[in-house]
Amino acid sequence: MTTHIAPAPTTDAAPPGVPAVDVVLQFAIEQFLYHEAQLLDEWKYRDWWHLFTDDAHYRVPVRRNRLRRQRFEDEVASRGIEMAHFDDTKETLDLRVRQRESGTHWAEDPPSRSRHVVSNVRVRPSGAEPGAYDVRSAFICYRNRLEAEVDLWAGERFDRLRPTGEGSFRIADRVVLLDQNVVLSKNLSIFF
Amino acid sequence: MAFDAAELHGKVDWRNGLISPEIFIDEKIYREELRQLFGRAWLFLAHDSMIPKPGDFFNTYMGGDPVIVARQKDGSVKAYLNACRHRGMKVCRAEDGNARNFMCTYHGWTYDIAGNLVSVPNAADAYHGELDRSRWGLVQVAQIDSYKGLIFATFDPSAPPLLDYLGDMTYYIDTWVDHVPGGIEVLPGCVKWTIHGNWKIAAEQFAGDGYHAAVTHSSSLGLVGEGMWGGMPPGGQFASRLGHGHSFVTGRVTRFDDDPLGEYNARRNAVVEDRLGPERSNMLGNFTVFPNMSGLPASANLRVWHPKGPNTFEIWSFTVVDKDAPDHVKKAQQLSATLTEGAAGTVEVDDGENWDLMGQMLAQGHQTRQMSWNYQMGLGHEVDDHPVHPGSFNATYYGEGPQRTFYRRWLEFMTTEKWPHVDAVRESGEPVDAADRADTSPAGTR
Ligand code: FES
Ligand SMILES: [Fe+2]
Repeated sequence: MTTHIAPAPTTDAAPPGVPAVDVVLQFAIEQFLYHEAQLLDEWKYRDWWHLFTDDAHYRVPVRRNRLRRQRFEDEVASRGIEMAHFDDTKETLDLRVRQRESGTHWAEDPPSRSRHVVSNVRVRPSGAEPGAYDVRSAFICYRNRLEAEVDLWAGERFDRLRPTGEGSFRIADRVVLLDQNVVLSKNLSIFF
Repeated sequence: MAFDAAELHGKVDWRNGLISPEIFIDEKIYREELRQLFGRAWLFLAHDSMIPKPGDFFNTYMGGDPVIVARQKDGSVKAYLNACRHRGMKVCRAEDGNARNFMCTYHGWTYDIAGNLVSVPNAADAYHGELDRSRWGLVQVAQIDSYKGLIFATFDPSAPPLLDYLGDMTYYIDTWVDHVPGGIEVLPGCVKWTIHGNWKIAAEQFAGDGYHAAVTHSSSLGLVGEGMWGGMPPGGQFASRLGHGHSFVTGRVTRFDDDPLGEYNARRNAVVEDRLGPERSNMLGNFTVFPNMSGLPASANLRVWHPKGPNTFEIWSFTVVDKDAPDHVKKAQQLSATLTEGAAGTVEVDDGENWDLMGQMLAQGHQTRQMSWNYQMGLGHEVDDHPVHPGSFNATYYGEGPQRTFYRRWLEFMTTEKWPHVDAVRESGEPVDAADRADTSPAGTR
């Protein structure tokens, strides 16, 4: 229970003016993330699911309000036996997608309208997996549901992207840090 | 405008299973609920395993009020209002952790882990040494006690002992917290989220509403529990005269057959049967300990419905595992619980849809508030002398007996000034007499 996900801020950011990767790669990865956002916002969950590698891990830990001196120690949980909002493999993500396809998933039927805005994309060669990239990005996600329900979520994503060899990528690992302690909505029936 | 308790008798006709939705939306009723119900009932605070070491604390709520529950140096547990005695500022904003003391960030009054006021800036000069610190500690709960690791407290010094309050409910709780020798522990990480609806709708569902699952959860139960739900599964319902409720199916199933839990549970069942007897070894259900603590052992889930206003509540959801289970089993339980329950749980997301939309309709409408809601399922089919199961017992898994009893007890709390004894509402449903109502409770006087 000691592999901490969120480093203390800025430790892995390249200093300003020193690009970690070339602009073409940066562009390609940004396009990949925008494409992913579009799939989610157009309810193409099955296509979205195919963006993950077979060994993918998708995780949204619970954020905790901690005293400052204890904050970086465990404000965001480890990968141990600890509760999270999502803690999925490709197999359980498939189950979630099938739930959306069932026609009886009332939380998303009628479906929510969402808008994922992705920004602040920072790319570095992965230290842990040669050939892969560690990508941090920020997101704002707006949801409008039924007549007048509005939810707004913000957060940061830590992705491990693996090149496919055909100029695209697959998501091998994703940790989403949602910027809410008490989730201010009735559910998290969408993906980030 | 004064609150008229007598009016509530017209809104909660538990005998005929008719309830006015005004009790889920009316602001005056809600304020009274905080005083009469949450101010007196025994409320769940935390489990022992969440605060194992001296100085460990967990921040929670009793009704609308923030409460710190903290492990003391001698191993005992205290609970007190998280509100400074100077101007009422929160003295601790972290949700849990370990501390020696809490310094209020407004003027610096500082309290130790027992809630004693230990330091006041400028005590000698500004206060001329005249402030008696011993009189200004944090407001302690009136009583605190635990049942097999589950810590409860009440603000009412006249409340009966916790064990009396729980009554027959312990028979059912034991199937979950005392079914194996080592008992349970709570995993780190409390999932908290917000529903715009009334807390009672959720509490009553966990007390008795197995009926909703087949439709509300058809998309998730169809995927992960194939074959679990056809017609009404065999099971039963317990309704406590004290307001608690429990619905169960017989036949312990895990949501996934191929994970380590299936094998573990199969081995564990023999131990459970040995410990609790055959009737309870196969019980799998959902329950509510009156008023706002619930459990869903199928998903290892323990939760509190914290009221945040007449039309808002927060769900605080914990996951429990057998303390002595091997780590790979605990991990499997955590993964299963994460997938099903919580703000993003495949099962749970569909509950939020219902509760929130019901809340919106009551907030906006007039006509929709005038309808009586129907709680008549199984009316008259409960028995009070079941040979095995204590309490008022219904032999079918679907029924609304636990909900009727929940609201009957709620009505008693709301319409009596003294601690509501179970005979406080006459069988006729009429208000109790003036003598009872004139009596003032010691709760609220400190
Ligand atoms: S309010 Fe706490 S010290 Fe003044
Ligand atoms: Fe449900």
